[in-house]
Amino acid sequence: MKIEKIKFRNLAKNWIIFLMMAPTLIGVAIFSYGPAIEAIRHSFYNWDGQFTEEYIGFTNFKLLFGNLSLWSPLLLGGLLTFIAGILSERKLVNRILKSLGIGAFIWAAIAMALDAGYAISDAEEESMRITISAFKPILVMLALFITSLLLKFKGKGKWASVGNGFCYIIPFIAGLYYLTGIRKTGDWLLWKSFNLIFILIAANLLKMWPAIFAAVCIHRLKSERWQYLYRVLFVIPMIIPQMVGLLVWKFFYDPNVGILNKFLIMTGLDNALIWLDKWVLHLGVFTDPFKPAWLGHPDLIIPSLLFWGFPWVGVVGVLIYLSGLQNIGQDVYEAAELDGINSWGKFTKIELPLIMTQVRLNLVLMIIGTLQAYGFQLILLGPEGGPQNKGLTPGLYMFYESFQNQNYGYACAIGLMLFFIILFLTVINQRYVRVEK
Amino acid sequence: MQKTKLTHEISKHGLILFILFFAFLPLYVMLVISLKDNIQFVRSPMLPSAPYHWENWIKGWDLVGKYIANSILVAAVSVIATLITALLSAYVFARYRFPGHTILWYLLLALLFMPGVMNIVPLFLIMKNMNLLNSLWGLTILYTVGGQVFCIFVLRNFIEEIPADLFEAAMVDGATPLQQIKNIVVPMSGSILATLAILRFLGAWNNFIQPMIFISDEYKQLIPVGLMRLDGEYVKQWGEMMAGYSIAAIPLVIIFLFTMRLFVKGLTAGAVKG
Repeated sequence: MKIEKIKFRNLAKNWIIFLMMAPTLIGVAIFSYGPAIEAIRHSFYNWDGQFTEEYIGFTNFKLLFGNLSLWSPLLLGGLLTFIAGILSERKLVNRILKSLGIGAFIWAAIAMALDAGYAISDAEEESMRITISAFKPILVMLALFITSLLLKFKGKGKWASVGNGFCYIIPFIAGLYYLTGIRKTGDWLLWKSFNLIFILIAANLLKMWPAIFAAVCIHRLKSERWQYLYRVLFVIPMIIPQMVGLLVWKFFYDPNVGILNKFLIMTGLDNALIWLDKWVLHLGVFTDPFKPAWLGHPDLIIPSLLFWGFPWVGVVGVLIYLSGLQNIGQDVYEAAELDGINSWGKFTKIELPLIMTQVRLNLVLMIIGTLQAYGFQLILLGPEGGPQNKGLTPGLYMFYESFQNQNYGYACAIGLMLFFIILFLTVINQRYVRVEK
Repeated sequence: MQKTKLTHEISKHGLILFILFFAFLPLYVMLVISLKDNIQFVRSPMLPSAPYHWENWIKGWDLVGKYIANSILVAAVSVIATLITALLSAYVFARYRFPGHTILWYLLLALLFMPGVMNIVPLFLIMKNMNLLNSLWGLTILYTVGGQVFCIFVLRNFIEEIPADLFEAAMVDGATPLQQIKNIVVPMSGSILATLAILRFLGAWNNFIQPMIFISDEYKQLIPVGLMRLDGEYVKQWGEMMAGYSIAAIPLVIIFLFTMRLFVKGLTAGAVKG
């Protein structure tokens, strides 16, 4: 379509379009960017929200990431943004990200040198040991990464593809290595909360499939009427307010009156679980009388979170996949039938590729959503994420640090880290998950 | 051949119904328990049993009725405000290119990736300075701002797909941007606007973190927090509680009844395709 281009010197003449955007822009500036900038600023502060507000530099991040604080996250961030820059196709984004990445590299190198210098001048054996032990593997990984990048762009044939593969794998290994670093010296709870996130994401990956199958089934039904009926039926569960859904499920899990325990006792599965616990699991959770507190026992919290909402029910997903399936023309099916493709073949060769856009989009939204989520755990388990913090997510940890511990500065630092992780995922998403029209 | 076709059809229905059964289970449990007193509830929570205690619903209304009006007010006003402001901005983003266009656009999109918790404390202070704490209007403004990005994103994509000739013809006739929106965009985007409205309404109805933190007076509280308080009581009257939960869903039921067609159409036409 033809688009009105407005030159810089004509801006004043077109004041009306700025007036039209004004409510949005002013609102977003005050209520979204205002707090965000404040939050970023306060991640360098010791701040309790009221009285104490002092600048403490990188201390929050040091607590978060441990001894490797000053340079290691930057190095890794540099690596990751650099890759992101390469992956992104937009020129501007590409350039900005690449220069950010290189900047972070340089900063990291300087910080590393300073750290090493301090370590030597302090002659503190412990800190020197840590610095050097962290220094070596990262250097090796950096070398490997640069080699694989060179191979990717300069190499030929097999070598190029090897380089291509490795420049994705190495940052991944670096990330894992880094996470173990956090585990050793940084905030242990944070590491644990990320552990939970990995589990939840893996589970959500499996949870996507029933929705896809259901959508395909509805799509393949012969009668239009049934299709419409099912579509409406899949909308209806959306009328349950989220809070009601959460509270009803909390009731399902109730140890004394909950439906789940009653169901298990009714079907005799409780005996099986008691037997399993006695001879195989040795948890001491399932005993006679059978009253496991699904949300109150540290070993049961993660299974309960996974089973929450029934793993095989995904209502909104079904509707979104259906919208993708509708674009498949009848002629494609007829051609497939002529070729003698069976129904599984139709699924893998026609339907799945055509809804891949929606699947990928859902995947990314799901990962970002899981990373940010905390409300669900807050209602089910309380601000600490249940006994032994088993249900703690990074978002909930932030909530806990700010509202329970009045440790706002630290919470802001966690938030900043989350933001960068999500941003990174989004950039990857931009590269791989373009919505094809 | 005919026989296998039939079994195919049946197995498809079977799978769909299996998923639907479990999707409806919480709804069913909620409705069944809402008609029981505590004794009946302990004896058999799953099956309906006489006598039916309809008075639970009256008590349930006493428990949650006061919150419903607040929630409807906030949700309805914020949905209308969101749609109007988002439509105006989306039109500008779709139809004009001006210096700073791309940067503004990316700044808006970046909001989708901010972890919400990070903002809450500074937001609290900003609201306090603006005297918007503990006020339904403050909450309405927050919900309106919160819904902007998603709506603008969807509407921009939609407006860009409207044939340009329409706008050009209107311009020749001397239509102002506002008239163009009123006469071209709004009539064409009925189902998408309805879908966005419902999604935003659901969002406002379900949001509980912000009311929990920004509203302190009991009589100004919104429904999710009200329900949460109900759950926190020590001696639970399960029947009344579930009746209260069911009542909290009624406004959504009414809205879905009226807009179901548009919503199903809008969703399947790809309003949320991205």
